[in-house]
Amino acid sequence: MSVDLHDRLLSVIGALVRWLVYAMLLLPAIIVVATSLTPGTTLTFPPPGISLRWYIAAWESSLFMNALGLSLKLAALATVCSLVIGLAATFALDRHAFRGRDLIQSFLLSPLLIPTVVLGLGLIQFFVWIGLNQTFAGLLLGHIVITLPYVVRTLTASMVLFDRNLEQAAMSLRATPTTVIRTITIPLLLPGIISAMVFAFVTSFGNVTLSIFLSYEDKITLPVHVLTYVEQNYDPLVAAVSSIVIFVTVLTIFLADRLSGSKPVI
Amino acid sequence: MQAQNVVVSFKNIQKTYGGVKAVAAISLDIRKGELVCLLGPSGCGKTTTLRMLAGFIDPTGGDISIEGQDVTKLPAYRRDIGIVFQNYALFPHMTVAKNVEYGLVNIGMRKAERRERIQDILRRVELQHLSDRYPRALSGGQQQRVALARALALQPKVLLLDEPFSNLDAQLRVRLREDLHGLIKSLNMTTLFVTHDQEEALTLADRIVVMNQGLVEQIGSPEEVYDAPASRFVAQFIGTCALLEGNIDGSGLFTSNGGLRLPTKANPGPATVVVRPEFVRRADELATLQAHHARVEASDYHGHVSRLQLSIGYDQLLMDARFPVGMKPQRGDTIKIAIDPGGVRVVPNQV
Amino acid sequence: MSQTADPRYDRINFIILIAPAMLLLVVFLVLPMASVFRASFYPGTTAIGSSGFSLNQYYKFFADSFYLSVLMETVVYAIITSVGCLLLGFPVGYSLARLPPAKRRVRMILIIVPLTLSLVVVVFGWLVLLGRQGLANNILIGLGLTNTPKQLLFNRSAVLVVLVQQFLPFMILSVMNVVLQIDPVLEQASTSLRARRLKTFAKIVIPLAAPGIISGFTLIFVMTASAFVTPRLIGGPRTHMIGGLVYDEVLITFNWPFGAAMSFILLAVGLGILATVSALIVRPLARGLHVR
Ligand SMILES: Nc1ncnc2c1ncn2[C@@H]1O[C@H](COP(=O)(O)OP(=O)(O)O)[C@@H](O)[C@H]1O
Ligand SMILES: [Mg+2]
Repeated sequence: MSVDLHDRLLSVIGALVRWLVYAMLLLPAIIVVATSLTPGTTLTFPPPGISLRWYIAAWESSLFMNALGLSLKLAALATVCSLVIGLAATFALDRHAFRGRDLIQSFLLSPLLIPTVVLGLGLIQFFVWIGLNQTFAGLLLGHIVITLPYVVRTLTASMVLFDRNLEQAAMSLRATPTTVIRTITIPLLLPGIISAMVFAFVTSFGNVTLSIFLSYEDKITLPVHVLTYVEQNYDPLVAAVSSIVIFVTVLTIFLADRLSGSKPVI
Repeated sequence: MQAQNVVVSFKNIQKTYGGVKAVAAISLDIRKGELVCLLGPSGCGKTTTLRMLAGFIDPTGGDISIEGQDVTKLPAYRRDIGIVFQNYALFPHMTVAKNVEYGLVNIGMRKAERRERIQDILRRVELQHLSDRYPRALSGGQQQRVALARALALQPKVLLLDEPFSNLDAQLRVRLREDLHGLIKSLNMTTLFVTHDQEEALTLADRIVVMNQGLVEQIGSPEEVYDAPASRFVAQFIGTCALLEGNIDGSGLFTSNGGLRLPTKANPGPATVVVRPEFVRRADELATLQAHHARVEASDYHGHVSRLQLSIGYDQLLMDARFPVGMKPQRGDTIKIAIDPGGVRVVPNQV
Repeated sequence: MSQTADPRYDRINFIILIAPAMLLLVVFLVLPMASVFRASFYPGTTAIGSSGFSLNQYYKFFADSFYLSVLMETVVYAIITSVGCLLLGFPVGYSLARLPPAKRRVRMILIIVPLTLSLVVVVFGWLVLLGRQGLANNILIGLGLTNTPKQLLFNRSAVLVVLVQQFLPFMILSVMNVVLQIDPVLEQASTSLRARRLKTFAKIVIPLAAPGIISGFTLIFVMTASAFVTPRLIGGPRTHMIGGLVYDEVLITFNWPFGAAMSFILLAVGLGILATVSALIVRPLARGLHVR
């Protein structure tokens, strides 16, 4: 078969686009990590040398470290809450066929499609009315709302692949419903559950567009801190802090990928 | 039949899905050690029936009992049944041994005893060397045997099998069928088996329940359903046959609408007659009988026999016969045939 | 679990499981959105303790050419970004879907990390990259294209590049997920019928991948239209998008009713454009492009 010139050209263009895209996607993170290692006081790339002085500075900055602690706590809580709520809802939707099921499913995914500025305004206004404005609960609730769609979407995908015969087989082997859930359902859904948790965690941890509306006084998340800092001036300190955000994100994804065993997480 | 011999009893079992009858009304007793087969075309309600017995589907009406105890309202995990699914449903996150052990743990058996039981059952299905494998590393035939071992490990009162051979290739199917039959019989296991494959049913079952559109058409031994079909449906579904419509007179002589006459022992009235192809013979083989001139409409070579489509006047018949090399009749030829009266069955006309 | 359970018990079970999620979204999504809608009709400049009904906020928006031009500009940004993501994301998503699973798993991490990485970090990375002492300027100087560092930030192109980069992973994953469902045999069949790759793409792959393309496009359009961090930081003070204006009204001038009205104008215009795009471009796309 002769190779068509057009097809050749097309595959060359395809390869170029792919490499351009991968480079473009990774470049910002690589640049941030690289510049954070500078021994100097300006952000230059490539850095003139390598030192950890800005990481030490970040470690000593109680402002950033408190924000990091808050962000981790917030992300962990939001993940647990939205996993519990989302798992229950997805399970219910998976197990009950009825008219309007798709509608409920779309509703659960809808926070993904609401612009965060609009949601942000809605939430502070509503929180002012019900007295939750400038509270940690308000911040947490907002994060649960925006992480829920990731949980629902990921879990729905993994439940579709789940073979219900396995549960019935277990029941025919004298397993009570709770035993079935404990020994069959949960273990087999685990890769899906882990990836749902990863998505929820990193989404919450990195969120800035909603947090900026709900953060207050000493409850300012790390991304919001970075944002306000960068708006004023930027120096290697904020590069180090940003690198910490990158490490947390990458580490979470990497760990989850290991944890879930042979099945791909994402 | 003695009542205490009955292990499973369906009494007028029904299942409707939003007004559609999946199972219309089934009554059936299965005796101890008996291998009963539900046979019927796809969608006739076999799986639904099986799953109602297993406890996965709630019957709309009727009762099910196991060894005299009414289990209709009992959840699946309290019924003493073992089941092998069409896709085997092996737990993918457990090894072969763990799969077999699963039920034993659930009934609270002690570890030493469990190990012994697992060893024993895996030896019976010849899988002891694979006990640490995961299901995905097994062939289809091996998976099927693991599923069987897992179900049998609990020594259930009834074993249920839903099309257990449908995922296997033809060669393996026949071999595993024989193995399964031997195993079930050696354990004297009461078994309810579902298939749409008549050959499977005929070779395995002690009794066949022929189903059609949620109803039982006939219950009987393989010989009965083959030789004495109770309806046109059964006659056509099991084996091949020609059906002739006509009337029977006072002397038992059947005259088809096309004019073909065949002696029967049935009562007078309108009737349908079943003629199986192996009972249509060359006239010289049955010299004592009346010969008919039949026109060959088509002939297919099947290896061991040739199957001919014949027409005698307006009547159509099928014939299985062997012909010497070069003597096989061709389309358009006329041959002389006779019909063995022992193979002529009268089917009651449906109301 | 077992269908043997009483159907009433089953219904109660269902309600108990679904209730928390429904309650959460009704209270913390629907009600807040409703409250924004209500606030957009307040006559004054404050939402708390206000009452009354007027179209003042909407008049204010549509009477001012500044707001209208920002709206226009926002829509243009959103369209260019979505199309850019499609053009760059489709080849990548497609090739990912056609990779063997083990290789795909590694590449997926390269997509997932930028997807989930905090927006501020990404934007900060671009600030450094495009800054006066950044990589881009170093390369330009190294190539002798310029002697002094150029201002690469604070213009439209920079904003577009960063928007495309931050939303690309969504398109890649949408396309990948839908191409995974397309049997490669279809493409082989098309090729065996003497179709060139481009024609195979136009007639087979793109129509079948249309659902993924639509969902990626929609998501990116919505997210771009309401973006405010990127235009602020990369675009500088002279770049305006509606998202940024809403943000200013909410957190800087505290004129919530006007912010609310802008929010709903943004939502309405966004939905309108998405509907038009889907009717004019995506549906014909789904039927198959005409390529000779
Ligand atoms: N959950 C269900 N909802 C609606 N109809 C069903 C359901 N399960 C089975 N049916 C219908 O009931 C009939 C019998 O199904 P089944 O028992 O699976 O048949 P078989 O196993 O004999 O092929 C079919 O017509 C099928 O469409
Ligand atoms: Mg079936």
